[in-house]
This record gives sequence, C-alpha cells and structure tokens, in this order.
Amino acid sequence: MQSDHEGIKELLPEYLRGTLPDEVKSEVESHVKDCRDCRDEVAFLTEIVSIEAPDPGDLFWKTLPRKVKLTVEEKKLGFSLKYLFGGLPVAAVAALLLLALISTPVQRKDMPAQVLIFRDPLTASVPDYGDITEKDITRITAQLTDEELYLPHEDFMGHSYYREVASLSSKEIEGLYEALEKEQRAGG
Amino acid sequence: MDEDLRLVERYIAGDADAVEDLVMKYQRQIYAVLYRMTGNTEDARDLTQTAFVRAMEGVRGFRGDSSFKTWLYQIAINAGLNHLKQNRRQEVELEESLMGHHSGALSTIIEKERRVSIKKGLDELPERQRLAVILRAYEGLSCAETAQVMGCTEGAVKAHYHHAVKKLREILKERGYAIRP
Ligand SMILES: [Zn+2]
Repeated sequence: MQSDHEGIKELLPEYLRGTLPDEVKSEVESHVKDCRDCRDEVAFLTEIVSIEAPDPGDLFWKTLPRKVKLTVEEKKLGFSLKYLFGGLPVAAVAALLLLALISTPVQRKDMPAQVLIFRDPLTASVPDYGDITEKDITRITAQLTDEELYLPHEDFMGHSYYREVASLSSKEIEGLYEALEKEQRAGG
Repeated sequence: MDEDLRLVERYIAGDADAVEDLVMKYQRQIYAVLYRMTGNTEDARDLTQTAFVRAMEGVRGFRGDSSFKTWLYQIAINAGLNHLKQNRRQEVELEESLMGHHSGALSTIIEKERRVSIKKGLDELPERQRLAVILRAYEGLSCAETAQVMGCTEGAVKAHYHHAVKKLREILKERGYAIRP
C-alpha cells in the first residue's frame, strides 16, 4: 500500500468530506493507519477546515431558491420587453403608451386605424422572442405591479414614458396625438 | 441521465420550478465557497444569489461536457474574484465574528485565535493557491474537478495545492501554532 502513498494523499480532502466511494474509503483508511505523512496531512486538513462559514440562517436558505427563480424570470421578461420596444421608433412607443391611458380622460372616437394596431404589442412587433411564449408573458406580467411592468421603458433620468405621458395635461396629450398623426401621414 | 442535467433540461423546456430545485441542491456549497473567498457573510449571500442568477441565465451555454456542479462553481468563483477585485477584502468582520465572544473559557479563546491565524494565512496566499485549497480542502472537489473549475491542468492544481499547504504550515508554525498530531 505504501507504494500508492502519493495517490492516497491526493484523495484525503475527498476522504474527509466523505465523498469517496466505500471501497476507496477503506483503502485510504488502511493506508493512513500506517503512514505518518498522511496522518499529518489529515490533521492539517482537519485543522484548516475547522473555520466554519457562519450560517446565514433558515430564512436565507428558504427564500433564496424562489428569489433566484423570480429574478431570472423578471430578467427574461425585461429583456424581451426591451427587445420588443427597442425595435420600434420612440414615437410608436409613445403612441402605444398613450393608448394604455385611453381609458382615462382623453377618449378619442376618431382614432385612426394605424394607431390602433399598436393596441396589441404582440402584433405590432417583428422581433423574435426566443423561447418566451405568450403564455409566459401573460403569466409573468400578471405577477408584476404597474411600476415593475413599466420599468423597462425608463430613460436615463429615471422617468418612464408611462409617467411622462401620465403627467401631461389633456391639451398636451392632444398635441402629442396630433404630432403623431402628422408623422404617420408623412409616412413615418 | 444525471439528475442535474434533467433539471437543466426541464428549465430549458420552460419549467421555471427547476431553478428552485437546483438552487436548493447547491446553495450551501456555493455560499460556503463564496464566504471563504470573501470572508464576509453579507457579500457571500449577495454573490450566491448573483451566481445562481447568472448560471440560470447562461444555462444554454452549458454544454454538459463538464458536470453542472463544476460549471456552477466556475461561475461562483468568477463572481467572487470580480468582487474581490472591486473591493479589497474586509478582514475586520471575520476577525470580529471569530474573536467576538470573549466570554468563553481560555481554551476557546486560544482556539479562536488559532482559527484567525489559519484564516489570515489563507488570505495571504496567492489567489490561485488559495482557490486550490478552498476547492480541494473545503469543498472536497477532486483534482480533476478543481482543474475544470479553475480552468487549468490537474498538474497545475496539484502544484498550487502543494505550495499552498506548505506555505500555510510555515505561516502557522511561525505564529507558534504547530499542527496538532
Ligand atoms: Zn501516505
């Protein structure tokens, strides 16, 4: 057995962690019994490993899996929204968000059809969503609050289009609407 | 098929719950590695989450030619190394957590001082040597797994580990802590 000293010594960390298969384990044990050098190594390793990582507590272990899952899903959605809106001109995004507000004050009856197609973001888009299905988006958006949902459109000042549009007076919204209409007539 | 691979495939097929199973399985190991790298519980907690999120985001890049475990360790260690580069290590917290409760018996205090010495010795090692010790001695990864995680040959792992152990013994001896038989 002494001839395999180097090989056995190499297995000691795994031996101490208990990750070796049984037959190898007994081989290691019978070697260590008669090998001073390996016994030293075991003592040394045991010593170093005595520094325990402090336990962050049950709450951490119990919530982490869900936190990771939600973060991954949100990021996936954020990416697809950015992709979705990234492919559209800013005016179109504004129009889309304007439509989101249509239930509030400025209901227009003579809304042209070109604008109305933006009502459904899925049909207004060309981009490839990769593996995100419509079902995913519905499910994930249902879990998000309005604020989270509109986060991807935030500009560098931290204002979202949603909030900007919402802060406009009805006169300003009419103005914006007319500008959009003009742009579309011009073929924009 | 390997259980981890099955979970990864379930996730890719659209079952988000597979993420929870993978995290539950490896969270303690990943946290421990990151704690040993950073010496700070708060950083280790944040980095553990970061590592898992990155792993899941990049899971399509996981080819299955290494095990999911070594692949995950790789991501965790990269996250840890980047973090260390950005913030030089805070040793104070660790020292406090180890030395904190002075009410114990003299033998416990000596024991704690010993541990602080070991931890300091570990921190003084060059990065690659330290990683080799963390992965081999603490995590019990095999030479082959450690090599995969560190992105080097098994020979290099053996050399790093050997130098590290030698240096640690010297450091401990200098400070008057002989290894107990
Ligand atoms: Zn031996």
